[in-house]
Amino acid sequence: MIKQLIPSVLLTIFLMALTGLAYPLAVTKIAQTVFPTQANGSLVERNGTVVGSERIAQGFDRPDYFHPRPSATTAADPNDPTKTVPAPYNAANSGGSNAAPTSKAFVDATRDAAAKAHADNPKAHGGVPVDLVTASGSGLDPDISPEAAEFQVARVAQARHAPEAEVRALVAAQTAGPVFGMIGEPVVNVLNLNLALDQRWPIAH
Amino acid sequence: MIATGILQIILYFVLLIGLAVPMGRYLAGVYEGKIAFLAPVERGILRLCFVDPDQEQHWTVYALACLVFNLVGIFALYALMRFQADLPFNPAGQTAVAPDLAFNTAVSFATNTNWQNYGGESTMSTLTQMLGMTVHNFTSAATGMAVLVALIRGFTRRQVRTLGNFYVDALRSILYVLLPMAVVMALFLVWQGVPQNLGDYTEATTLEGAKQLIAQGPVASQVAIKHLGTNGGGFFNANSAHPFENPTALTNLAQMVGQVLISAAFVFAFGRMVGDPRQGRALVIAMSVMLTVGIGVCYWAESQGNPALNGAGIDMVTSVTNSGGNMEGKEVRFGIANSALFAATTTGTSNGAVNAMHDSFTPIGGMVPLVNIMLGEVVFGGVGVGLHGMIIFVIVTVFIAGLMVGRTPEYLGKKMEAREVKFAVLCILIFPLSILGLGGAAMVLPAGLAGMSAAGPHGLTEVLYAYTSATGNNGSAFAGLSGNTPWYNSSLAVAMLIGRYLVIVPTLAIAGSLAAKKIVPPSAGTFPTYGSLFIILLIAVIVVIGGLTFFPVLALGPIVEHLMLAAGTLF
Amino acid sequence: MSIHRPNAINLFEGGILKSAIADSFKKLDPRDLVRNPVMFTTAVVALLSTILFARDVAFGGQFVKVVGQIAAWLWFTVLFANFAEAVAEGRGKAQADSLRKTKTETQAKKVASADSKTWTTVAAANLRAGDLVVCEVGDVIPGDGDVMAGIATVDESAITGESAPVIRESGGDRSAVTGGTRVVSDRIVVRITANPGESFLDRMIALVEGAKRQKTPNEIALTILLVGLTLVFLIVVATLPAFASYSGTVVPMVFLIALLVTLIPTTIGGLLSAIGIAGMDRLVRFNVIAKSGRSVEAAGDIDVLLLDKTGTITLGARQAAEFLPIAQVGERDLAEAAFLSSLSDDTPEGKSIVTLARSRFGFKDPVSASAMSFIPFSAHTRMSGVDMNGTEIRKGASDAILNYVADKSGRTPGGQPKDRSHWSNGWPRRAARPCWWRVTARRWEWSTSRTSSSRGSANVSPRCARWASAR
Repeated sequence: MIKQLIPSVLLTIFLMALTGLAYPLAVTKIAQTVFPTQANGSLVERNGTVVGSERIAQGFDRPDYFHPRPSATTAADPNDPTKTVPAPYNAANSGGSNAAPTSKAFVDATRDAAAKAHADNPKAHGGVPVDLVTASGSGLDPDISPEAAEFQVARVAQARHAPEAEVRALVAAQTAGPVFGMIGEPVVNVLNLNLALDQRWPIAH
Repeated sequence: MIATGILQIILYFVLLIGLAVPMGRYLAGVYEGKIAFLAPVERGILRLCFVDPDQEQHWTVYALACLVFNLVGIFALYALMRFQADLPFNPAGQTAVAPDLAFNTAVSFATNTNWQNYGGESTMSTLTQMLGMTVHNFTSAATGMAVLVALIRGFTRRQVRTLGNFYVDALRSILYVLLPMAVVMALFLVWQGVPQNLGDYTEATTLEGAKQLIAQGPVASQVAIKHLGTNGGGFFNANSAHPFENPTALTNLAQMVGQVLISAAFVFAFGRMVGDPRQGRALVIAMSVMLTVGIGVCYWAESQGNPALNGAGIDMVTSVTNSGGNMEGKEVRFGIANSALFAATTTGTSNGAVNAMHDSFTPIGGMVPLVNIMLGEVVFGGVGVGLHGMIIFVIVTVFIAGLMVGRTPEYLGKKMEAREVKFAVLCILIFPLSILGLGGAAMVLPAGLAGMSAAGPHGLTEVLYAYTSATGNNGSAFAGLSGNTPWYNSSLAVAMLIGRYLVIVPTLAIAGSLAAKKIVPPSAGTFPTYGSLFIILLIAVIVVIGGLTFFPVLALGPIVEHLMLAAGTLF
Repeated sequence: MSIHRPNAINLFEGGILKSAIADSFKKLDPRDLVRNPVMFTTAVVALLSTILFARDVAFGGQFVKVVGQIAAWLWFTVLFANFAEAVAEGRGKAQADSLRKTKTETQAKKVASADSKTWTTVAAANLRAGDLVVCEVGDVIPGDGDVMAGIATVDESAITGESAPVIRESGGDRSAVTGGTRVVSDRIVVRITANPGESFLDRMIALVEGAKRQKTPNEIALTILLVGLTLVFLIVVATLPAFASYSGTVVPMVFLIALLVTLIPTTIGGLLSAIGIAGMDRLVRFNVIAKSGRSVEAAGDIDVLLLDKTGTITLGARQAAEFLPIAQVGERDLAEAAFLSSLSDDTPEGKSIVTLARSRFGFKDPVSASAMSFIPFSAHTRMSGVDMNGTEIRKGASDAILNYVADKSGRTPGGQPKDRSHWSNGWPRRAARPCWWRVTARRWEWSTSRTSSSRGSANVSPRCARWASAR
């Protein structure tokens, strides 16, 4: 036991230095040099202020913005740290709803969300795409499906006083297809799309 | 299920096997000592640690070295978490981790489980993540690889009492395999958008004017090894569903390949090291068949969507432009196909990273990862432990096959006798004992019942999944379960310890016993362990043992939930 | 020697069945049952369900019929397993009895002294070192010993594999004889040098009787596997109520029992000992002597059989299979000569020549036997033959014949046959060459016999022949 303890302790210390310090620090150094933008979180700045990360969803409620997927993230309850309160798009505490498919609360909430989506987008036809009414796994899903964007085009166009076709073209331009046409799903990045909207049809606040 | 989804699954297999074959050749070279370009470094380090690299160990010493090394790691990580508030690299000012959570987490990372009863970004300091989590991601994987190499040596050696040197094997695993691959993978991830910095969390002002605090850190370096080492412990709470951990479809593919690559390569290396590549190929086929079935069932179930949402004006039809299916807890960039594929591969291996929330899967879709772990995570499995779990089943299979033809069963020229069967049975016994024993206790204790987030059969599945995942050293979860309570922290830690070390020790005992035997050359009467008959028999043994053991309890969980969901019963 | 097959014992012989039924109840003794953990578990569960049944009958329960049925089935399972084992053991016993018969059949002719004319018959097993026994033609030498008097050819094929009988005589280095070998000609007196120890026969009897039967290694391993699986399913069933309680379901005890019995590997467990005994039984039937459980498995593991002594598979008795006349000798003539000269040869070889000649040409025993003077085969002359009307026919080892002819005629029949090469390829040259010749008024005829190990011939007359024996 003792005979094995000394090598074990020494090897652990060595590996801490190698894999716990040297490895992450070296990777950080290289990453910061070669891919500085990505390594720092793909942050997006507008007029000198950080407006978010291209990779992280943020809340959009206004009708003139495309809405992201619902978020089920939480934060510690300010009144009672042992409890949590809903805090959508909390990028410091990711997570999904973990709702069971047989959860009555989940099914009711989703049905309500669908009803609300239809009410918000009266001109949209067909069912609301499922991704728009279900919470993402991380609560920070920056993307929506092309169908989900299409579902909102009419509403956004109306709110921006822009022609639907042009908004639709903007969505198409912001749609990233699968890599090499086969890996992954086509997605529309909500933040980038909304930034493009603001640039094309600015709204004075 | 759509064509592009199926195409992606096929592409995944092609990529995996294509990489695993050369990788297997490399692994065989490393552990046979033929590839030794780092020999001076390796021997220097070992000498500094008072290890004689040329001194081989008997299986008992090998096992002891493995246990002590892991114990030291557990203590180190525990101390790190308890004192993190007073240590540097703590940009978010995290406080000391509570004792029970720290114990659970230390055990969890040392056993390659990486079950997380905490949210990484809201609990651990950057130093803890680097010096604790990342280190354990390397060492726990290296431990599994060393144990497997010892087992393989049991087959290749004849009439020898030693199995090699644990420290040498563990260090080689890190220096030659894990570390170089991790560096490449980490840089690839950064390129695709995974952060790698030591700065503070960033505060952003959103377009609508809200404040958003964006957690960051040395993510890429930890995520790379978490997959390669089948650890699965995420930097963030949402694990690989988090857009910073897994930003694109490409990183997703890389992570799915990465978490199976070393395990799959080891199977090829195994065939190569025992001098008969067909043996490795047969196991790869058996594993691939089981994985394919799992993926197929999961993909199908998730594509169906949630029948309780029918008639709510929701479009759940999967198409090229619509995610469709059951999207709760899934990310749009992965869609149904890649989420199902990820769920199957992460539980076939002992990885446990998730890119979608298993708790929100449909009952049958969620049963696939559960069953994968229950069957012993032998579908490629964790690095090292997966193949040795498979070999345990192989021993049982050749034993049964041997009895059918009236010969003393043998595998790769080694006779399987009472001693090997005894230890193999012990390994098999561990699973139901821990899963059903501890799980059953949780089902009657108030402390156990309190943790469930779901009512009805889904709650049972949450608890069952927790103990299955802990025992299988997987680490994925039906995360609705509130695991951060003294009961779950301690009982899950016990399950993880049982599932890890009570399997490793008998495995090494088998290795020791095998190494001491002579090798019987194959003859006309030898049951060939590379043909389709063997593959079918092996799968049957795995499925029958696992199926009979867990079917009753599965019937009370996901199966009845599926029937109730179809009947429209909600809880 | 023909392959000795013990009489097959009918599986469902009345006697065995009757005692097996009684035994299957006797074996309910927990001390017996515990040796088979799976069956023990089943028996315990059966007992439990019987108690439940009794309780339900007494106090009225919901599932009286089901409980009763389950209890009945469980007891039946246990009894059937016991029954299978008892049948297997019964067969073993019957087998042992037949072996014992073989054993007592070996008799020795014990004599007081080497020149004693009378003997007493004793069982071979009762011989002690120093006893003298006389062995005559056809006798099995009852034990290891030394030849005290006489000379004889002994068939040692069973031990050495040499098919040709060897000569054993008193004195010198050819005096040792081995028990179990058979005297082919003449008479010797043997002094037994070894006390009969525990012969293989004894061990085999003990083995098949099951008294000393140890579990085979595979059986042990299988038992471990079955115990393991039983434990696994015990855990499954024991924890099920906990999981069920969450769903608000109470699983009645009787259903848990039923589930357990369904899951645990009762069938293999129950038949395990029967399988082991059956394995030995089968080996005995093929004349394979299994001295331990391990060797039963070893028999299954044999891939290639390498023997440096072929004794165990060689029939020591050389058998004539063919008459091969040479040149102008007719096959019938050869056969007739061989037949006549072998009539007084009691060795298996001689007998087989007679048999072959009879079957090929339908020879009858000579009518004028009284006019013939038969010379029996002996180890001294290594010839046999017949004299009639001035014609001498001899058959024997070639050098013995050569010498005989030389002595008779005053000249040595010379030379090797010219056309030997066309007889057959690959005749071993070293072996003894049994030949026959006959002298008529005008000529000698000279021939050889071909046997399994002795080939070759010399030719002094135009006619030469040989016959071959079966291997």
